[in-house]
Amino acid sequence: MQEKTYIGSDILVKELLAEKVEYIFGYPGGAIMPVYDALYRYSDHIHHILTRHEQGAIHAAQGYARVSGKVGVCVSTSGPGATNLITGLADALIDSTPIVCITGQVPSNLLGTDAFQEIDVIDISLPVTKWNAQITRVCDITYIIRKAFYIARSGRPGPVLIDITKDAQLQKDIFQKTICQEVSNFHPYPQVHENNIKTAAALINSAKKPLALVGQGVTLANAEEEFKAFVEKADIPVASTLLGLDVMDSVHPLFVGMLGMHGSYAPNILTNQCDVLIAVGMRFDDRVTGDVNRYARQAKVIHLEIEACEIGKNIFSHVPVLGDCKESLPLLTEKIRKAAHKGWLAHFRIMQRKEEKIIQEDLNPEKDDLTMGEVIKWINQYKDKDAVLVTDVGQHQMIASRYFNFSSRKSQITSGGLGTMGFSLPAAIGAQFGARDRQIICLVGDGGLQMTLQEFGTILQDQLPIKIVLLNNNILGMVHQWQDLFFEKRYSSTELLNPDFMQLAKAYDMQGRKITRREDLQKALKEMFELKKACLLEVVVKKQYNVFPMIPSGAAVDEVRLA
Amino acid sequence: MKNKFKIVILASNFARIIIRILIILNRRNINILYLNVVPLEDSQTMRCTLEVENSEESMHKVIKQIEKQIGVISTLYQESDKEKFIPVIKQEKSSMPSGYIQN
Repeated sequence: MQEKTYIGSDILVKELLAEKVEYIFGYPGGAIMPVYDALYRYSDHIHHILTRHEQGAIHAAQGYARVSGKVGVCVSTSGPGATNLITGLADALIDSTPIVCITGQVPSNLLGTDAFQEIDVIDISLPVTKWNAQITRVCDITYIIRKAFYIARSGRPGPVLIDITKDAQLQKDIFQKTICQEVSNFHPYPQVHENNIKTAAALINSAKKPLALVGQGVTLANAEEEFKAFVEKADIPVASTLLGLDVMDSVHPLFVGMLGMHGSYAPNILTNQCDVLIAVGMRFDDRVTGDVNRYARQAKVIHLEIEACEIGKNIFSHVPVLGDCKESLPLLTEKIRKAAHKGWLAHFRIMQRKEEKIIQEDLNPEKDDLTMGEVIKWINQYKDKDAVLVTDVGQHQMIASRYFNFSSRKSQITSGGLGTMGFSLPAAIGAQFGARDRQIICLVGDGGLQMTLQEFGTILQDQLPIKIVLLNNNILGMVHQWQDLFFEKRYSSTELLNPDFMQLAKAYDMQGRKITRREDLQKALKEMFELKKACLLEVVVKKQYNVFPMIPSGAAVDEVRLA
Repeated sequence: MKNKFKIVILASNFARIIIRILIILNRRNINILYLNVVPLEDSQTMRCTLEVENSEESMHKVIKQIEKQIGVISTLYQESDKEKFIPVIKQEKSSMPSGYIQN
């Protein structure tokens, strides 16, 4: 009997179903129409979320991937549809987010002819993808899609782009179930070497002043428990990177704060005083290290990392432990001795007191103007315990990172490496699909919100109960801060004349509320979290406000400024 | 200080692997002096030979980035006026190079 044949777009959707894809974020167009036709046929199995811009679709796929741990999928058409994905691809690459993007392409006989909406997206996306490929024949669809998912999720995750020509979407072929369990010359999980573990354990056992730095790698490896067991056994203080904030509870006694440019005072200062630095799943970004030539020169560095090229890239590591930390951390925990570093931990607490004045000014201000810090303080009070915080980029992001209580796994989504303004609103949409039962709080500034404002439409269409907290200072706060500190108060193009956000909320059928007075804040937040529909809470906050502590660009970590 | 280095890369012979390698070099403004690509007998793999101007420290990091690319099988490099090639430590054989603390 002859096997049943399907058109390429049906094979593509069947392949997505085989990969257990439940949600696709996307925007239709000419060259991807056969795929959308197939999605119509399979609409009982795959839910397509129509965003209002392709950038929104890819950020939503990122938000979905970050909160669920699964591969996010986004679909767009050729030409401008494909180029609109580039920012999201770059963001996903630098923040190691597993996503697969499928773009339509003009028929293969028109490639290179400057056809309508033809763009060489494969070459454009080369530097911003972990892997990409073009499909021009229906027979390649199955294998390439499987390979795309395998590459996106394996080892250090990343974005993959698949460009599929319209003729390949319409050709017929049989559907073969295949499994991709390896790709030749791709070794995503390096073997952990016993010797490196022994050396690292010996160094940790001899340490008097150890400091652990944790990054998103631990979250990506689902190794939060293993990490906790490791630091608790050796009694090591833990500082985290921006993306590693949800690895440990913010109130855990060993957690000493965030590292880097706007991190906490104590871990930044004491990085240059510790004797052993244990970096787990982080990459020594320049925002973390400041001047690399004056970074932890006194310390022996142990670096647990899954990707060989990250070891020694910015900071020399004396003991590199290559491998998945889900595997290497338990081996290390087994070999280390139970220890106590009370004196060393007390040192962190003493240092933290120096920051107290800033914390008080942020959280309990005496002046009339509302501060971003006090909004976060009251959000902590009324939010669900396992709420997910999605932040945009800028001052509010740093303040939220400093004061928000991350108390659950995968509870933080933000654009770290690329610093993409406009990320939070679409990412919150994706996160809501990735965690249907969790409370999603989108914290955004007035600048960032207006970069992807159109996604209010997606929230309306899908009736998502996202809680949007807009911290409105009517300026581009972080740039304004730099102008204030380093450009002699020449505020070039950072003032914003904003629209009436309440009218916008009304237009999109959101519950809107604007707060300008302190006495209204708590009640408004409490009411917002009790509502089961989308809300926009605009809080007008202090305009002249700088985020401290701060390490000026190019300074050493122990030159962190408190004012 | 910049020296001349010769790099030999063995890779799967698919269309865009060369561009991926060149992007790594271009991004760091590394000057490419020559480039030679030869398909091997099985036609599934190719050998790519380049000469570049770069510092020793940067060279080591760049080679690790090249090694990371999906499809690259192995990489060797040497200073152009020296005879012995430095093999790159592949991820699955991650023994410790000299300079690190040994047990």
